[in-house]
Amino acid sequence: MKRSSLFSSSIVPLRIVFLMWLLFSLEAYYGWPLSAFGIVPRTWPGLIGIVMSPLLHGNVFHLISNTIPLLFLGSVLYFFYPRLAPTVFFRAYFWTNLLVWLFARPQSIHIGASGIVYALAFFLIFFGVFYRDFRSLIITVVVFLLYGGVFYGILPGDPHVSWESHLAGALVGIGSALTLSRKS
Amino acid sequence: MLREFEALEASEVELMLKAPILVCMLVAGADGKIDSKEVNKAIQVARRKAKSSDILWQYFSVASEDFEDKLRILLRNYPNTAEARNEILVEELAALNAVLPRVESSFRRQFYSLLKELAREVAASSGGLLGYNAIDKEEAKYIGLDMIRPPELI
Repeated sequence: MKRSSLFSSSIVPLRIVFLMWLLFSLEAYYGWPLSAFGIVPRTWPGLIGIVMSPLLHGNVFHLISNTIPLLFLGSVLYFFYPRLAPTVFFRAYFWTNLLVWLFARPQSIHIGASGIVYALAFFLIFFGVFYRDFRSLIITVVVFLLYGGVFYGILPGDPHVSWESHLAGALVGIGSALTLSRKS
Repeated sequence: MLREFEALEASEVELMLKAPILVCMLVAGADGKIDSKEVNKAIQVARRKAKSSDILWQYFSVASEDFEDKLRILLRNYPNTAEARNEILVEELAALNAVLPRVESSFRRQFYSLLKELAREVAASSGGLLGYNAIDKEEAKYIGLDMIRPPELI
């Protein structure tokens, strides 16, 4: 099995985080209204959000609250599951956002990387449950202890929070854990 | 000048400050007449929101000042018929779509919620029987404020 170093495992998450901070800085410095490129469900212009929305954030707290888990969970994914990681990350990014575009409440703009964070957290929690080897179960327990709160985030609550992104991420994470654990 | 409006032109600041009045005029005047109950409700909502929100507090200490007088004065500049007046008001409120993306996101979200709440409460404040069925068909057309794009969800 190919072994990953801690640094090489964090390259993909670091690139995404770099782009998130770059776009946020450009938006803040030049005043460009980039948030308009978020996902607007079931509209043609809103399709661009499938690519752009995880890179856009409403404020610095929103950005930080996604940066830390994205770096941690992304690195854990690439470190412990290097063979599966590109597939999981691709699904977490694009499938999650596609589900938001298809099913989220209309006339709304969804931004932020929390859908990816939820997909990664749910994948890491459920992969161990489905795969049932010692190492995966340890990862399940550790991620659950650190990010067990994600189970609350998939429920509707604050009207300004895109719980649909969280739910879509959770479904993609669980779905990926199930399908990929069978193939492994 | 409010800190949140530093990136805006003078005409855009003016629009932000008169937006609650425009919403009040649009919803309250949708049935042809603006009664004082509706204006009082708008002032009440504005004050309540100002007290409960750190972000909007400063905005409201400016925007809600002499609310009724401003509304009455502003109203004189618009056509008398509800249909013609509302057409202009909808257009003016839609102009917020170009302004709001340049305002800080927490402020933008709270500002949008406030306008929606204002529209709903003003519409429900008069008419109907003992408060039931208080929102008539004309008011219902506008309380969603569909001309303003909602802020992003995070």
